Amino acid sequence: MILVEGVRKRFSRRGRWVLDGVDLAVPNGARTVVAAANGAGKSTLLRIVAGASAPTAGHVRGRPASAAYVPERAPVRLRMTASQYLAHMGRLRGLSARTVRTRAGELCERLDLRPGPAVPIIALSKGNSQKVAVIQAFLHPVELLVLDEPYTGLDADASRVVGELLTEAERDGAAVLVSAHEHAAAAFLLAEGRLRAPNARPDRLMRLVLTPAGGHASIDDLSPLAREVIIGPGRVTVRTVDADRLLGLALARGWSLLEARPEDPA
Amino acid sequence: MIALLRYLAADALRSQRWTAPLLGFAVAVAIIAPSDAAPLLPTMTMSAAALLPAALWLTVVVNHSEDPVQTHITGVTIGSLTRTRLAKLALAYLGCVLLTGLALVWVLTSTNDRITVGLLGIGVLAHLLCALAGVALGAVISRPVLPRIGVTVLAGVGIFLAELLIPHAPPIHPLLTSFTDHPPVNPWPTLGWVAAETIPLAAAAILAAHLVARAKS
Repeated sequence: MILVEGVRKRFSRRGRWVLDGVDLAVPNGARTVVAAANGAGKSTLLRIVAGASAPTAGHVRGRPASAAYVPERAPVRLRMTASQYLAHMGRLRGLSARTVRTRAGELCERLDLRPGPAVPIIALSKGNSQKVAVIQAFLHPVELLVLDEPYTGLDADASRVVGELLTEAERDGAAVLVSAHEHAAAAFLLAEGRLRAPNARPDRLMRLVLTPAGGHASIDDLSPLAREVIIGPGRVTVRTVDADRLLGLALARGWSLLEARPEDPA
Repeated sequence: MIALLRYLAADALRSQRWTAPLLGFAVAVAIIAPSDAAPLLPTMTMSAAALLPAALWLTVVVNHSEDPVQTHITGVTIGSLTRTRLAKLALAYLGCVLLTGLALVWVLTSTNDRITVGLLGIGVLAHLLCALAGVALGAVISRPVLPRIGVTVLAGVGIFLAELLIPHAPPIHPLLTSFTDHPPVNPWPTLGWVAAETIPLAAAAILAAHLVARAKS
Protein backbone atom coordinates (compact mmCIF):
# COMPACT_ATOMS: atom_id res chain seq x y z
CA MET A 1 0.00 0.00 0.00
CA ILE A 2 1.41 3.36 -1.05
CA LEU A 3 0.08 6.32 0.91
CA VAL A 4 0.03 9.82 -0.52
CA GLU A 5 -0.32 12.25 2.36
CA GLY A 6 -1.08 15.94 1.99
CA VAL A 7 0.92 16.25 -1.21
CA ARG A 8 1.22 19.74 -2.65
CA LYS A 9 3.17 20.70 -5.72
CA ARG A 10 4.08 23.89 -7.51
CA PHE A 11 6.86 24.36 -9.97
CA SER A 12 8.01 27.83 -8.94
CA ARG A 13 7.90 29.98 -5.86
CA ARG A 14 4.60 31.85 -5.76
CA GLY A 15 3.42 29.72 -8.68
CA ARG A 16 0.00 28.11 -8.87
CA TRP A 17 -0.50 25.04 -6.71
CA VAL A 18 -0.91 22.26 -9.27
CA LEU A 19 -1.69 19.85 -6.44
CA ASP A 20 -3.13 21.33 -3.30
CA GLY A 21 -3.30 18.75 -0.56
CA VAL A 22 -3.84 15.35 -2.16
CA ASP A 23 -4.41 12.24 -0.04
CA LEU A 24 -4.60 8.88 -1.74
CA ALA A 25 -4.11 5.25 -0.83
CA VAL A 26 -2.88 2.99 -3.64
CA PRO A 27 -3.42 -0.59 -2.45
CA ASN A 28 -1.47 -3.64 -3.60
CA GLY A 29 -3.11 -6.09 -5.95
CA ALA A 30 -5.63 -3.57 -7.23
CA ARG A 31 -6.00 -0.84 -9.81
CA THR A 32 -6.51 2.74 -8.71
CA VAL A 33 -7.76 5.12 -11.38
CA VAL A 34 -7.42 8.89 -11.28
CA ALA A 35 -9.54 10.87 -13.73
CA ALA A 36 -9.33 14.57 -14.46
CA ALA A 37 -9.70 17.14 -17.18
CA ASN A 38 -6.65 18.05 -19.27
CA GLY A 39 -4.13 20.08 -17.33
CA ALA A 40 -5.62 19.32 -13.91
CA GLY A 41 -2.39 17.80 -12.61
CA LYS A 42 -2.86 14.07 -13.18
CA SER A 43 0.55 13.60 -14.71
CA THR A 44 2.17 15.56 -11.89
CA LEU A 45 0.43 13.41 -9.29
CA LEU A 46 1.41 10.20 -11.07
CA ARG A 47 5.02 11.29 -11.39
CA ILE A 48 5.13 12.07 -7.67
CA VAL A 49 3.69 8.67 -6.76
CA ALA A 50 6.12 6.94 -9.14
CA GLY A 51 9.05 8.86 -7.67
CA ALA A 52 9.91 10.82 -10.81
CA SER A 53 9.09 14.11 -9.15
CA ALA A 54 9.47 15.46 -5.63
CA PRO A 55 6.45 17.01 -3.89
CA THR A 56 6.80 20.59 -2.65
CA ALA A 57 5.08 19.55 0.59
CA GLY A 58 3.62 16.32 1.95
CA HIS A 59 4.86 12.75 1.66
CA VAL A 60 4.53 9.57 -0.30
CA ARG A 61 4.94 6.67 2.11
CA GLY A 62 5.53 3.00 1.45
CA ARG A 63 6.80 3.33 -2.10
CA PRO A 64 8.27 -0.12 -2.85
CA ALA A 65 11.80 -0.76 -4.05
CA SER A 66 10.77 -1.65 -7.58
CA ALA A 67 8.55 0.59 -9.64
CA ALA A 68 7.82 1.17 -13.31
CA TYR A 69 6.43 4.23 -15.04
CA VAL A 70 4.85 4.81 -18.43
CA PRO A 71 4.62 8.52 -19.29
CA GLU A 72 1.65 10.07 -21.02
CA ARG A 73 3.72 10.77 -24.13
CA ALA A 74 6.35 8.16 -24.86
CA PRO A 75 9.92 9.46 -25.15
CA VAL A 76 10.59 9.70 -28.87
CA ARG A 77 13.95 11.45 -29.00
CA LEU A 78 15.80 8.20 -28.41
CA ARG A 79 18.50 7.41 -30.91
CA MET A 80 18.70 3.72 -30.04
CA THR A 81 16.71 0.94 -31.60
CA ALA A 82 13.85 -0.44 -29.53
CA SER A 83 15.76 -3.63 -28.70
CA GLN A 84 18.90 -1.73 -27.63
CA TYR A 85 16.76 0.57 -25.50
CA LEU A 86 14.91 -2.32 -23.87
CA ALA A 87 18.23 -4.10 -23.21
CA HIS A 88 19.46 -1.00 -21.36
CA MET A 89 16.23 -0.64 -19.39
CA GLY A 90 16.41 -4.32 -18.43
CA ARG A 91 20.03 -3.97 -17.35
CA LEU A 92 19.04 -1.03 -15.14
CA ARG A 93 16.72 -3.50 -13.37
CA GLY A 94 19.57 -5.97 -13.02
CA LEU A 95 18.20 -8.42 -15.59
CA SER A 96 20.48 -10.56 -17.71
CA ALA A 97 20.69 -9.84 -21.43
CA ARG A 98 19.06 -13.17 -22.23
CA THR A 99 16.11 -12.63 -19.86
CA VAL A 100 15.47 -9.21 -21.38
CA ARG A 101 15.70 -10.53 -24.93
CA THR A 102 13.20 -13.29 -24.24
CA ARG A 103 10.74 -11.12 -22.35
CA ALA A 104 11.04 -8.15 -24.73
CA GLY A 105 10.56 -10.41 -27.74
CA GLU A 106 7.47 -11.90 -26.17
CA LEU A 107 6.00 -8.46 -25.37
CA CYS A 108 6.85 -7.04 -28.80
CA GLU A 109 4.95 -9.92 -30.31
CA ARG A 110 1.96 -9.59 -27.97
CA LEU A 111 1.70 -5.85 -28.56
CA ASP A 112 2.47 -6.26 -32.27
CA LEU A 113 5.32 -3.73 -32.42
CA ARG A 114 5.71 -2.61 -36.05
CA PRO A 115 7.97 -2.71 -38.00
CA GLY A 116 9.89 -4.41 -35.20
CA PRO A 117 12.34 -4.00 -32.32
CA ALA A 118 15.37 -3.48 -34.60
CA VAL A 119 14.15 -0.04 -35.70
CA PRO A 120 15.37 3.22 -34.06
CA ILE A 121 12.69 4.53 -31.70
CA ILE A 122 12.82 7.96 -33.33
CA ALA A 123 11.58 6.30 -36.56
CA LEU A 124 8.58 4.57 -34.95
CA SER A 125 5.02 5.85 -35.21
CA LYS A 126 3.35 7.42 -32.16
CA GLY A 127 1.47 4.27 -31.25
CA ASN A 128 4.50 2.04 -31.67
CA SER A 129 6.78 4.26 -29.58
CA GLN A 130 4.03 4.13 -26.93
CA LYS A 131 4.21 0.33 -27.10
CA VAL A 132 7.96 0.47 -26.42
CA ALA A 133 7.29 2.65 -23.37
CA VAL A 134 4.74 0.07 -22.17
CA ILE A 135 7.12 -2.84 -22.80
CA GLN A 136 9.93 -1.33 -20.68
CA ALA A 137 7.49 -1.18 -17.75
CA PHE A 138 6.61 -4.87 -18.03
CA LEU A 139 10.11 -6.32 -18.55
CA HIS A 140 10.16 -7.55 -14.99
CA PRO A 141 7.47 -7.85 -12.30
CA VAL A 142 7.47 -4.71 -10.12
CA GLU A 143 5.61 -3.82 -6.96
CA LEU A 144 4.33 -0.46 -8.21
CA LEU A 145 3.13 0.30 -11.74
CA VAL A 146 2.23 3.86 -12.70
CA LEU A 147 0.75 4.38 -16.16
CA ASP A 148 -0.25 7.82 -17.40
CA GLU A 149 -3.16 7.42 -19.84
CA PRO A 150 -1.73 4.17 -21.20
CA TYR A 151 -4.42 3.64 -23.81
CA THR A 152 -4.15 6.90 -25.73
CA GLY A 153 -2.50 6.37 -29.07
CA LEU A 154 -2.86 2.60 -28.95
CA ASP A 155 -5.12 0.63 -31.27
CA ALA A 156 -7.86 -1.63 -29.90
CA ASP A 157 -5.73 -4.80 -29.90
CA ALA A 158 -2.79 -3.18 -28.13
CA SER A 159 -5.16 -1.55 -25.60
CA ARG A 160 -6.62 -4.96 -24.83
CA VAL A 161 -3.12 -6.40 -24.30
CA VAL A 162 -2.20 -3.54 -21.95
CA GLY A 163 -5.37 -4.27 -20.00
CA GLU A 164 -4.36 -7.94 -19.75
CA LEU A 165 -0.82 -7.02 -18.65
CA LEU A 166 -2.27 -4.79 -15.93
CA THR A 167 -4.59 -7.54 -14.73
CA GLU A 168 -1.66 -9.98 -14.62
CA ALA A 169 0.38 -7.47 -12.61
CA GLU A 170 -2.51 -6.96 -10.18
CA ARG A 171 -2.81 -10.71 -9.75
CA ASP A 172 0.91 -10.78 -8.88
CA GLY A 173 0.19 -8.27 -6.13
CA ALA A 174 1.39 -5.06 -7.77
CA ALA A 175 -0.09 -1.73 -6.80
CA VAL A 176 -1.35 -0.18 -10.05
CA LEU A 177 -2.06 3.51 -10.53
CA VAL A 178 -3.57 4.58 -13.85
CA SER A 179 -4.86 7.91 -15.10
CA ALA A 180 -7.68 8.47 -17.52
CA HIS A 181 -9.08 11.64 -19.01
CA GLU A 182 -12.54 10.24 -19.48
CA HIS A 183 -14.64 9.94 -16.40
CA ALA A 184 -14.23 6.28 -15.49
CA ALA A 185 -16.74 4.75 -13.10
CA ALA A 186 -14.54 3.92 -10.13
CA ALA A 187 -12.11 6.77 -10.59
CA PHE A 188 -10.82 9.33 -8.17
CA LEU A 189 -11.54 12.77 -9.56
CA LEU A 190 -8.79 15.39 -9.55
CA ALA A 191 -9.94 18.99 -9.81
CA GLU A 192 -8.47 22.28 -8.63
CA GLY A 193 -5.52 20.49 -7.09
CA ARG A 194 -7.63 18.26 -4.89
CA LEU A 195 -8.70 14.65 -5.16
CA ARG A 196 -12.21 13.40 -4.57
CA ALA A 197 -12.85 9.72 -3.79
CA PRO A 198 -15.23 7.94 -6.18
CA ASN A 199 -18.82 8.63 -5.11
CA ALA A 200 -17.56 9.62 -1.71
CA ARG A 201 -20.18 11.30 0.35
CA PRO A 202 -18.90 12.17 3.79
CA ASP A 203 -22.28 11.38 5.37
CA ARG A 204 -22.39 7.96 3.75
CA LEU A 205 -20.65 5.92 6.40
CA MET A 206 -20.99 2.16 5.88
CA ARG A 207 -20.57 -0.68 8.27
CA LEU A 208 -19.26 -3.88 6.70
CA VAL A 209 -18.91 -7.23 8.38
CA LEU A 210 -16.49 -9.56 6.58
CA THR A 211 -15.13 -13.07 7.02
CA PRO A 212 -11.41 -13.21 6.34
CA ALA A 213 -10.09 -15.95 4.06
CA GLY A 214 -8.97 -18.96 6.08
CA GLY A 215 -10.06 -17.20 9.22
CA HIS A 216 -6.85 -15.19 9.10
CA ALA A 217 -7.36 -11.46 9.38
CA SER A 218 -4.57 -9.52 7.72
CA ILE A 219 -6.08 -6.08 7.46
CA ASP A 220 -2.86 -4.09 7.09
CA ASP A 221 -3.56 -2.71 3.66
CA LEU A 222 -7.30 -2.36 4.14
CA SER A 223 -7.10 -0.35 7.32
CA PRO A 224 -6.12 2.98 5.67
CA LEU A 225 -9.46 2.87 3.87
CA ALA A 226 -11.38 2.28 7.08
CA ARG A 227 -12.34 4.65 9.84
CA GLU A 228 -12.53 1.89 12.40
CA VAL A 229 -11.63 -1.78 12.38
CA ILE A 230 -12.88 -4.28 14.93
CA ILE A 231 -11.36 -7.75 14.65
CA GLY A 232 -13.52 -10.43 16.21
CA PRO A 233 -13.32 -14.22 16.11
CA GLY A 234 -13.80 -15.21 12.45
CA ARG A 235 -15.06 -11.80 11.46
CA VAL A 236 -13.87 -8.27 10.85
CA THR A 237 -16.13 -5.27 11.24
CA VAL A 238 -15.13 -2.05 9.51
CA ARG A 239 -16.68 1.38 9.32
CA THR A 240 -15.73 3.22 6.15
CA VAL A 241 -16.77 5.97 3.77
CA ASP A 242 -15.05 4.12 0.93
CA ALA A 243 -17.06 0.90 1.05
CA ASP A 244 -16.84 0.09 -2.67
CA ARG A 245 -13.08 0.03 -2.76
CA LEU A 246 -12.63 -1.67 0.56
CA LEU A 247 -15.11 -4.36 -0.36
CA GLY A 248 -13.51 -4.82 -3.79
CA LEU A 249 -10.13 -5.37 -2.17
CA ALA A 250 -11.49 -7.73 0.47
CA LEU A 251 -13.38 -9.84 -2.06
CA ALA A 252 -10.34 -9.98 -4.34
CA ARG A 253 -8.47 -11.43 -1.38
CA GLY A 254 -10.97 -14.24 -1.02
CA TRP A 255 -12.87 -12.75 1.90
CA SER A 256 -16.64 -12.83 1.99
CA LEU A 257 -19.24 -10.33 2.96
CA LEU A 258 -21.56 -11.14 5.84
CA GLU A 259 -23.34 -7.87 6.26
CA ALA A 260 -23.37 -4.33 4.89
CA ARG A 261 -25.46 -1.44 6.08
CA PRO A 262 -25.32 2.34 6.15
CA GLU A 263 -24.48 3.88 9.47
CA ASP A 264 -25.99 7.04 10.81
CA PRO A 265 -23.34 9.68 11.33
CA ALA A 266 -23.96 9.73 15.05
CA MET B 1 25.64 2.17 -11.26
CA ILE B 2 27.67 0.48 -14.04
CA ALA B 3 24.49 -0.32 -15.98
CA LEU B 4 23.30 3.26 -15.53
CA LEU B 5 26.60 4.75 -16.70
CA ARG B 6 26.66 2.36 -19.63
CA TYR B 7 23.15 3.34 -20.70
CA LEU B 8 23.82 7.09 -20.30
CA ALA B 9 27.10 6.76 -22.21
CA ALA B 10 25.37 4.86 -25.04
CA ASP B 11 22.75 7.61 -25.26
CA ALA B 12 25.26 10.49 -25.10
CA LEU B 13 27.69 8.89 -27.56
CA ARG B 14 24.89 8.46 -30.10
CA SER B 15 24.12 12.17 -29.93
CA GLN B 16 27.62 12.87 -31.36
CA ARG B 17 27.53 16.27 -29.67
CA TRP B 18 30.64 15.35 -27.69
CA THR B 19 32.73 15.79 -30.83
CA ALA B 20 32.72 19.60 -30.48
CA PRO B 21 34.24 19.83 -26.95
CA LEU B 22 36.68 17.03 -27.83
CA LEU B 23 37.84 18.88 -30.93
CA GLY B 24 38.00 22.23 -29.12
CA PHE B 25 40.14 20.76 -26.35
CA ALA B 26 42.39 18.95 -28.84
CA VAL B 27 42.98 22.20 -30.72
CA ALA B 28 43.80 23.99 -27.45
CA VAL B 29 46.29 21.29 -26.45
CA ALA B 30 47.81 21.34 -29.93
CA ILE B 31 48.42 25.08 -29.56
CA ILE B 32 49.83 24.70 -26.04
CA ALA B 33 51.96 21.60 -26.47
CA PRO B 34 54.36 21.53 -29.40
CA SER B 35 57.34 23.75 -28.47
CA ASP B 36 60.19 21.38 -27.49
CA ALA B 37 61.95 23.75 -25.16
CA ALA B 38 58.89 24.81 -23.18
CA PRO B 39 59.03 23.84 -19.49
CA LEU B 40 56.56 21.18 -18.47
CA LEU B 41 54.68 22.80 -15.57
CA PRO B 42 53.35 25.90 -17.43
CA THR B 43 52.34 23.74 -20.40
CA MET B 44 50.41 21.29 -18.21
CA THR B 45 48.78 24.15 -16.30
CA MET B 46 47.52 25.74 -19.49
CA SER B 47 46.22 22.39 -20.69
CA ALA B 48 44.40 21.96 -17.34
CA ALA B 49 42.88 25.43 -17.74
CA ALA B 50 41.71 24.49 -21.22
CA LEU B 51 40.04 21.40 -19.77
CA LEU B 52 37.59 23.52 -17.70
CA PRO B 53 35.54 24.81 -20.66
CA ALA B 54 35.70 21.35 -22.23
CA ALA B 55 34.33 19.88 -18.97
CA LEU B 56 31.56 22.52 -18.89
CA TRP B 57 30.63 21.67 -22.46
CA LEU B 58 30.80 17.92 -21.94
CA THR B 59 28.50 18.20 -18.90
CA VAL B 60 26.01 20.21 -20.93
CA VAL B 61 26.18 17.56 -23.68
CA VAL B 62 25.49 14.72 -21.23
CA ASN B 63 22.73 16.57 -19.36
CA HIS B 64 20.97 17.57 -22.59
CA SER B 65 21.34 14.21 -24.28
CA GLU B 66 18.60 12.16 -22.62
CA ASP B 67 15.01 12.85 -23.63
CA PRO B 68 13.41 14.70 -20.64
CA VAL B 69 10.50 12.25 -20.62
CA GLN B 70 12.93 9.35 -20.61
CA THR B 71 14.68 10.96 -17.62
CA HIS B 72 11.50 10.28 -15.62
CA ILE B 73 11.44 6.64 -16.74
CA THR B 74 15.12 6.19 -15.90
CA GLY B 75 14.63 7.77 -12.48
CA VAL B 76 11.70 5.49 -11.62
CA THR B 77 13.50 2.40 -12.96
CA ILE B 78 16.61 3.17 -10.90
CA GLY B 79 14.47 4.27 -7.96
CA SER B 80 16.25 7.60 -7.54
CA LEU B 81 16.33 10.80 -9.55
CA THR B 82 19.33 11.99 -7.55
CA ARG B 83 21.39 8.96 -8.49
CA THR B 84 20.53 9.45 -12.17
CA ARG B 85 21.61 13.10 -12.01
CA LEU B 86 24.84 12.23 -10.22
CA ALA B 87 25.53 9.46 -12.73
CA LYS B 88 25.34 12.00 -15.55
CA LEU B 89 27.91 14.18 -13.80
CA ALA B 90 30.07 11.12 -13.16
CA LEU B 91 29.88 10.26 -16.86
CA ALA B 92 30.96 13.78 -17.85
CA TYR B 93 33.80 13.52 -15.34
CA LEU B 94 34.89 10.18 -16.81
CA GLY B 95 35.00 11.87 -20.20
CA CYS B 96 37.25 14.54 -18.67
CA VAL B 97 39.55 11.85 -17.27
CA LEU B 98 39.92 10.50 -20.81
CA LEU B 99 40.69 14.02 -22.08
CA THR B 100 43.27 14.40 -19.29
CA GLY B 101 45.01 11.22 -20.41
CA LEU B 102 45.00 12.42 -24.01
CA ALA B 103 46.37 15.86 -23.09
CA LEU B 104 49.13 14.52 -20.82
CA VAL B 105 50.32 11.95 -23.36
CA TRP B 106 50.43 14.72 -25.96
CA VAL B 107 52.27 17.17 -23.71
CA LEU B 108 54.75 14.59 -22.36
CA THR B 109 55.67 13.26 -25.79
CA SER B 110 56.30 16.75 -27.17
CA THR B 111 58.49 18.16 -24.39
CA ASN B 112 62.23 17.97 -23.82
CA ASP B 113 61.87 19.08 -20.19
CA ARG B 114 62.80 16.54 -17.52
CA ILE B 115 59.69 14.55 -16.49
CA THR B 116 59.48 13.72 -12.80
CA VAL B 117 56.78 11.79 -10.96
CA GLY B 118 56.09 14.83 -8.76
CA LEU B 119 55.62 17.10 -11.74
CA LEU B 120 53.39 14.56 -13.43
CA GLY B 121 51.31 14.29 -10.23
CA ILE B 122 50.86 18.05 -10.17
CA GLY B 123 49.75 17.97 -13.80
CA VAL B 124 47.21 15.19 -13.24
CA LEU B 125 45.77 16.87 -10.13
CA ALA B 126 45.53 20.26 -11.84
CA HIS B 127 43.59 18.63 -14.69
CA LEU B 128 41.29 16.72 -12.32
CA LEU B 129 40.54 19.88 -10.30
CA CYS B 130 39.73 21.90 -13.41
CA ALA B 131 37.54 19.02 -14.64
CA LEU B 132 35.71 18.92 -11.29
CA ALA B 133 35.05 22.66 -11.39
CA GLY B 134 33.90 22.41 -15.01
CA VAL B 135 31.51 19.52 -14.32
CA ALA B 136 30.07 21.15 -11.17
CA LEU B 137 29.53 24.51 -12.89
CA GLY B 138 28.19 22.66 -15.93
CA ALA B 139 25.53 21.10 -13.67
CA VAL B 140 24.40 24.61 -12.70
CA ILE B 141 24.05 25.92 -16.26
CA SER B 142 22.42 22.92 -17.96
CA ARG B 143 19.25 20.83 -17.78
CA PRO B 144 17.22 20.57 -15.65
CA VAL B 145 18.40 23.81 -13.98
CA LEU B 146 18.66 25.86 -17.19
CA PRO B 147 16.69 24.10 -19.93
CA ARG B 148 17.37 26.69 -22.65
CA ILE B 149 20.59 26.07 -24.55
CA GLY B 150 21.08 29.73 -25.57
CA VAL B 151 21.21 30.82 -21.93
CA THR B 152 23.51 27.87 -21.21
CA VAL B 153 26.00 28.95 -23.88
CA LEU B 154 26.10 32.54 -22.59
CA ALA B 155 26.51 31.34 -19.00
CA GLY B 156 29.27 28.93 -20.01
CA VAL B 157 31.26 31.59 -21.84
CA GLY B 158 30.71 33.95 -18.88
CA ILE B 159 31.98 31.36 -16.41
CA PHE B 160 35.12 30.67 -18.44
CA LEU B 161 35.91 34.39 -18.80
CA ALA B 162 35.31 34.92 -15.07
CA GLU B 163 37.64 32.03 -14.27
CA LEU B 164 40.33 33.55 -16.48
CA LEU B 165 39.97 37.17 -15.44
CA ILE B 166 38.74 37.43 -11.84
CA PRO B 167 41.73 37.38 -9.47
CA HIS B 168 41.88 34.24 -7.29
CA ALA B 169 38.85 32.62 -8.96
CA PRO B 170 39.57 28.94 -8.29
CA PRO B 171 40.86 26.88 -9.93
CA ILE B 172 42.08 28.47 -13.17
CA HIS B 173 43.19 31.94 -12.18
CA PRO B 174 45.49 31.04 -9.25
CA LEU B 175 46.96 28.08 -11.16
CA LEU B 176 47.75 30.16 -14.24
CA THR B 177 49.16 33.11 -12.32
CA SER B 178 51.43 31.06 -10.07
CA PHE B 179 52.52 28.26 -12.42
CA THR B 180 53.09 29.93 -15.80
CA ASP B 181 55.43 32.94 -15.57
CA HIS B 182 57.66 32.18 -12.58
CA PRO B 183 56.85 28.61 -11.47
CA PRO B 184 57.62 28.07 -7.79
CA VAL B 185 60.25 25.51 -6.80
CA ASN B 186 57.62 23.66 -4.78
CA PRO B 187 54.20 23.94 -6.44
CA TRP B 188 52.42 21.65 -3.94
CA PRO B 189 51.30 24.33 -1.40
CA THR B 190 49.64 26.39 -4.16
CA LEU B 191 47.95 23.30 -5.56
CA GLY B 192 46.80 22.35 -2.06
CA TRP B 193 45.19 25.76 -1.61
CA VAL B 194 43.49 25.60 -4.99
CA ALA B 195 42.16 22.13 -4.17
CA ALA B 196 40.92 23.30 -0.77
CA GLU B 197 38.96 26.05 -2.50
CA THR B 198 37.79 24.18 -5.58
CA ILE B 199 36.45 20.99 -3.99
CA PRO B 200 34.00 22.66 -1.52
CA LEU B 201 32.90 25.14 -4.20
CA ALA B 202 32.26 22.30 -6.65
CA ALA B 203 30.32 20.39 -4.00
CA ALA B 204 28.24 23.50 -3.25
CA ALA B 205 27.52 24.02 -6.96
CA ILE B 206 26.40 20.40 -7.38
CA LEU B 207 24.20 20.64 -4.28
CA ALA B 208 22.63 23.90 -5.51
CA ALA B 209 21.96 22.34 -8.92
CA HIS B 210 20.43 19.33 -7.19
CA LEU B 211 18.07 21.48 -5.08
CA VAL B 212 16.87 23.48 -8.09
CA ALA B 213 16.45 20.29 -10.13
CA ARG B 214 14.41 18.75 -7.29
CA ALA B 215 12.10 21.75 -7.07
CA LYS B 216 11.65 21.75 -10.86
CA SER B 217 11.17 17.99 -11.21
